[in-house]
Amino acid sequence: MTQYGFYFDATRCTGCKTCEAACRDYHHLKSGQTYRHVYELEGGDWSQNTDGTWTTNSYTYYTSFACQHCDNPACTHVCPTGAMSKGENGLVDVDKERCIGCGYCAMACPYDNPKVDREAGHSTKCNGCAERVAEGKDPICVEACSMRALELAPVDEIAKKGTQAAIAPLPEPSLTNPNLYIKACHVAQPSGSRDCHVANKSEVK
Amino acid sequence: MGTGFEHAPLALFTTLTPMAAASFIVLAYAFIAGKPDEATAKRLDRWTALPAVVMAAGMIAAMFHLANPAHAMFVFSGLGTSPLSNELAVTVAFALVALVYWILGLAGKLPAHGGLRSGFLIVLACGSVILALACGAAYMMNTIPTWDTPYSLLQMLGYALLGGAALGALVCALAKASLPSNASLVIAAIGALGVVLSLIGLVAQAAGLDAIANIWGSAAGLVPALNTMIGIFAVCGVVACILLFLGYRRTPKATGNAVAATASWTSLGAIVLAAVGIFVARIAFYGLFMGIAL
Repeated sequence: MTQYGFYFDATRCTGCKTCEAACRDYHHLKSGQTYRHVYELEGGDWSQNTDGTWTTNSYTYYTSFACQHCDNPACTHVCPTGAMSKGENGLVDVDKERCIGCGYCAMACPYDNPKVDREAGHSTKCNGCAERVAEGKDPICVEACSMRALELAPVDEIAKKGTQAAIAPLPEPSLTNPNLYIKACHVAQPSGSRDCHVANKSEVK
Repeated sequence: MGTGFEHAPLALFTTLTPMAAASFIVLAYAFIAGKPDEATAKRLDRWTALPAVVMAAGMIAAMFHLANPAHAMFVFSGLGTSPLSNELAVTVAFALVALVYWILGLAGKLPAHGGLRSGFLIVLACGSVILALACGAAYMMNTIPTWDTPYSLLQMLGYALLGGAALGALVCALAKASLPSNASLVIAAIGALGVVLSLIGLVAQAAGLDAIANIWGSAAGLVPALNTMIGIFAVCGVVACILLFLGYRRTPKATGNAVAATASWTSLGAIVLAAVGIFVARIAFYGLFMGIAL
């Protein structure tokens, strides 16, 4: 099995959130719901120089991520029914005919990806647009990105372009071995950093 | 992150089911140390309906947590890997053994004394401890640092002992079982051990929150009323234990049925207080949910 993963070029992303909108539209999600999120990270400060002028080292950077289709997914480990599993191309998906909607996957995922849809009666999450990938197409978020900052490809290929995701707000990759590779911008903070904060909390939480 | 009340069905499950299971510790004491006659044993078996109802109520409450209970037959697929599968397997196994014990008792197939009765009760008493630990272990995931602590286990074990002592005492009192002269001390001690273990777990978990944070902030700010909620549990637990102690205390004027009548009321008070205290503490626990990063 060839493991696929997402590649994100943070040096290209402008934070336009078209990827989110395309995901919501394609998967017929409710307003405010999306399997992909764009986090705006801000940090830095202003300081006054001895001559009275002011200097800033403030920064903003964006991180767009969905499910990382991890090698060691927390969601599949805790799932009691086996509904959450890795399928074709190593993409993690929910078997709606087995899921009981207990929400353990949602609690366990360090990337906050699965959610329980109580009306539908099962968990929902990014499946990498597996049906499109099977047809040789890109996931809808990748196709929609006007800056070409996103890509889904075999991990061997994307690992040459970036490093395994280890920037804030994402967790340490050692937890689940995510198949998300990132070309980080120069201001990106390491995982676990408390020097930056999420500026668009109301959009992503 | 939430208030904890979004997991109210789970809080009910983890309040009711372990206490129903651990009531068999007191029943084991009542049968093995109390040596009841056949008539008393029959009454005890009839009133064992009470733990059965409480356990069923806990399991029904858990069903309300699920978005699709119709697929519940798949929940053992993750046995060995999923802590939830493990918890449910232990719960169902315990319930089945308890059901067999209860049916045999009601059918008159279990003599009041002897290896079969004692064997069942010892297995159920030990099983209740395993069930409580499995309930605690279900929340230990390395991606949820606030829950991923042995104190989650300690809390559940404590709640089971406190609730089990109160519920078991109520069963014995309603069955007018004549317990040994030190019963008030033994039952209250089981409850008190539960209160102490739970409080150690709660306070230690709370003390570790300052060191846990994610991108949204510190875990210490997750449940603003945490100390008050722990306090409510402590007060409920301590008063419940005092009631348990008073219930079976023999005085020159109060023996036999009079003791059982007093114990019924005090045990009822104890079980209500224990359930309220444990439920409040469980809500606090669920409010402490925090992902490791987001």
